[in-house]
Amino acid sequence: MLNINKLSASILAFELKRLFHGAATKVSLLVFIISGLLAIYLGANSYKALRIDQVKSAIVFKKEREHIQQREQLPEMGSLAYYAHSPTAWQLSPWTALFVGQSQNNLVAMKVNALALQGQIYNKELINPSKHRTGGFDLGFILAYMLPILIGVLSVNLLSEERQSGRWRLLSAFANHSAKKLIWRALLQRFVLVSLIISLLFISSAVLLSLPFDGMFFTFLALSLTYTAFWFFVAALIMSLNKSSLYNSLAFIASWLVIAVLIPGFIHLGLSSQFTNAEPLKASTTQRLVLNDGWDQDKQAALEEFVQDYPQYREKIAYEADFHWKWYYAMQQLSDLSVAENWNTYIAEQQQKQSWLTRLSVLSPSLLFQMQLNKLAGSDTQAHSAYIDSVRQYHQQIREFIYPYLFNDTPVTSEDIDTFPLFAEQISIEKPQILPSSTPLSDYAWLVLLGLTCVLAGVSRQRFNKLRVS
Amino acid sequence: MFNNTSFSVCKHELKLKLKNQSIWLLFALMQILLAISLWTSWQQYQHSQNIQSTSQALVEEQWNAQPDRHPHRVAHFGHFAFRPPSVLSYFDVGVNNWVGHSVFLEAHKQNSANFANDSHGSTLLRFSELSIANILLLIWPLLLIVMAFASISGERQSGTLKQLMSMGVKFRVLLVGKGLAYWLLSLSFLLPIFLITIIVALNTDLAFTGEVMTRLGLLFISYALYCFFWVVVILLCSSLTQSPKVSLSVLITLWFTLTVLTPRALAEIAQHLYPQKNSNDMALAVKLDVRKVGDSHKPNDPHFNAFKAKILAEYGVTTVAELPVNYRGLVMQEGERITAEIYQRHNEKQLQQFAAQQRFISHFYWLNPYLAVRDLSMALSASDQRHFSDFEQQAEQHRYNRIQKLNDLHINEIELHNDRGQRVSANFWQQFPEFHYQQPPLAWSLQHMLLAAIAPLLSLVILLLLLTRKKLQRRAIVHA
Repeated sequence: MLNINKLSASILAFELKRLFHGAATKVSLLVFIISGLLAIYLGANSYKALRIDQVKSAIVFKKEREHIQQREQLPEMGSLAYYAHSPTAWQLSPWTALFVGQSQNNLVAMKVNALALQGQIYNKELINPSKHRTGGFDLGFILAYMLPILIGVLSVNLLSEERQSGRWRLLSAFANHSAKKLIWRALLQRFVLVSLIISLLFISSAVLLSLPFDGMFFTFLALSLTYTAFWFFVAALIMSLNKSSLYNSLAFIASWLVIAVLIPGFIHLGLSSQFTNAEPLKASTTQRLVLNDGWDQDKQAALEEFVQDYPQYREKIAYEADFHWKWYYAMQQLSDLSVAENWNTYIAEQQQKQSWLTRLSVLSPSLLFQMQLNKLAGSDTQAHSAYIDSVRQYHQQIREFIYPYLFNDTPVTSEDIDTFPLFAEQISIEKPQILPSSTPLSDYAWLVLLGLTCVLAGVSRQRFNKLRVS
Repeated sequence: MFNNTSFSVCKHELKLKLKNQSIWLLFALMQILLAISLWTSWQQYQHSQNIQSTSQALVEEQWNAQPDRHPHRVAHFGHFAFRPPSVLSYFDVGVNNWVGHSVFLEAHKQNSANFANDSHGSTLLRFSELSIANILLLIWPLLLIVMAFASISGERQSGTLKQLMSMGVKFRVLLVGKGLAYWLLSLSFLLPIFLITIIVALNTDLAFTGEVMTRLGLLFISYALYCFFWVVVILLCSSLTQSPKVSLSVLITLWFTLTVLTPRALAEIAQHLYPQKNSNDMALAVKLDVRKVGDSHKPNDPHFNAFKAKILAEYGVTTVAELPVNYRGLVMQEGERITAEIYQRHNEKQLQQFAAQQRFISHFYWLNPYLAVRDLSMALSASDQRHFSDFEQQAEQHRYNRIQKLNDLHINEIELHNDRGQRVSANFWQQFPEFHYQQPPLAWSLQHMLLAAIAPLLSLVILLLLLTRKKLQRRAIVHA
């Protein structure tokens, strides 16, 4: 018994030595780890910048509010609301640092005031477009696109190396079975090694970003390991074809090119010619006409139209002077309503595009994996749409807060300013909570990835069993 | 070096490759890929061209259809500036999918370009669009590697290299012949797509000027040299590695590092080192600076008090009511001048940060010619960040002129008394010039591209020198 243990220990030592033997292997492992750590570090920094933006916006707003409250005479609500650009915050979990999704090219602390929403909601973050054109460098990129290459380097030529070294033939001579076991064992070793590296990357991110080791953490890890297994089975399948090592390398890089580059590229070509995103422009040109023509039209008629939605102000629409804020804000609201159809079409198109993307992503495991990571991190397009919708709701909250002041001609007091609605107050400066809404298992996409991996596992296993020793 | 032997080596290598059916298949697949890419980008080009011209016509019509109004109302009505796609953006789409193509021009406020094409780009475009430029930059080198990685190491492994040497074929001659073969193959790959690009462009109403031809010519030269760079790298690796297997893995690793890994990491590091202000910070900085200069709404604001005194002195009167012009209009004009100047100053800083990011990346041009050719290609296709910023600046200039002309109307055509109740005839602003984006000339496009042109050439020369060294020959043969 002792001898067997000793023997297996020395075999393990031998295998490990073999594993780290090649310079290419060592260099690839090192480059992968360094890239991963760099991506985590840079991601943590960008995430910090996003959070600073949110916190700073909240502080600036608070300061401005205090500043106004110190004035001897407070301006009327119409004028106050005109200048009150109050911040909102897209509640991003720290996982966004690793899987940036939509968080880098959109506003995460959009400011809105009570004027027409259509003039504000399409605003975007200031970006250097050449950086975005390059493709981004987050942990998601490292895992989805670079990891397969590492797996290829580590494994795709295992069989041919064994054959070259003579071990394959030697072992096959004793028992065909044990030769195949040798390959599986070598693959398993490499899988364990890569899994350890991935876990290391996740643990370092957890430490750097103070992420809890909770269900979320292990979901991310499990998802990544499933994806790792998928690529190991791709390698196994290619090996089981029993071709030369050159053929294996070429087949692997070709699979990677198709899955990671070409299929997403074609999906993009298709979707962007299908959905041209024309509604926002139509909406803004129309809304502007309605808004400005209002100045030349019957103002009481506009107010009549407005109170159809707000009947509580029906008796209070008359005014004497040339100008009254209640008409001004009513007109803003009417201009938003005039393009409601464009807005709804835009939202519907976005959703349609998203659902097409979700369906088509089944074609490319890399895309599927990446979308799943973003979804889990809460930085995907849907999370962003939800944020935009919460901004819309908040805008409504602000509007409805000021209407009583406008229509009742109520003067503003310092206490009133304190009651000005803030965007989801509980989040303001504290660390954001990880969103409970993203329950991973409810989603079929992960099951697809798991299913694909299992199918590949089955096929490659079967092919291996049929493999003839030559 | 170019002698009959190298030509016969070249001919032999080409024959060998052309006999291989899978090469033909790959070649055909790539041409189909290019054709699909050209077709879709051409359609998108026409689509955005169409949107741009109809939208610009629409907003000009809307502008002119305004009834008689107070000039300041017209200023708030505002206008739009649309960015026409550059002629060659269907060759290299550059940053176009990431940026907006229309700017709303209004009083008091500088809006940034809005309505970018793409909301899903950040997920789908991890490898950029399948534009012609990207296929040539990214995928063709990989194919070259697949075709040529064994060109020297394979000959050595099969023993033919020694045979050739013993027959008196010089190693350099062999290299020249093989290199020529793969370069010719690349050129035959490039030529059809450039020809189709020209044909497509000629068959439209588009202004296909001599300058566009020059740009295309320069693009062709850049890509031809880019292919040449890869041929040299492949031959070098193939000569220095023991076996074809090793050459292949070294070359693929190199390809991944040069075209996929480093461009992304460098872009991210550049932004980390030279960050630009985000939208909220930029708005806040402008607001605070404007407040520092003066607030026209405050009764005792020092800047506007001085401004008032200056105006009164200029006209030799004591109260604003006595002025022959509308003082409120003057205040509007002064306010617009102040905000525009401050905005410009901050925007200039932003652009400087972008330029610093670009400069940082350009330090690596000589190490990684992919970066240089990528940036050169975008500059020649007028689709890089600089060209986009140029549009935003032209739009801002147009905004400023338009609004200040309206303020002139406010000053001269509106009485101070009952200011808001008055209107001026629509004729006044119907004569304002339309917005037409002026595409910058070639010289401007290439202004900062000298390094991108020189650095890769320099590294090419170094690689060539390495390749022709005697020592390399000895190593290449000793391995066998």
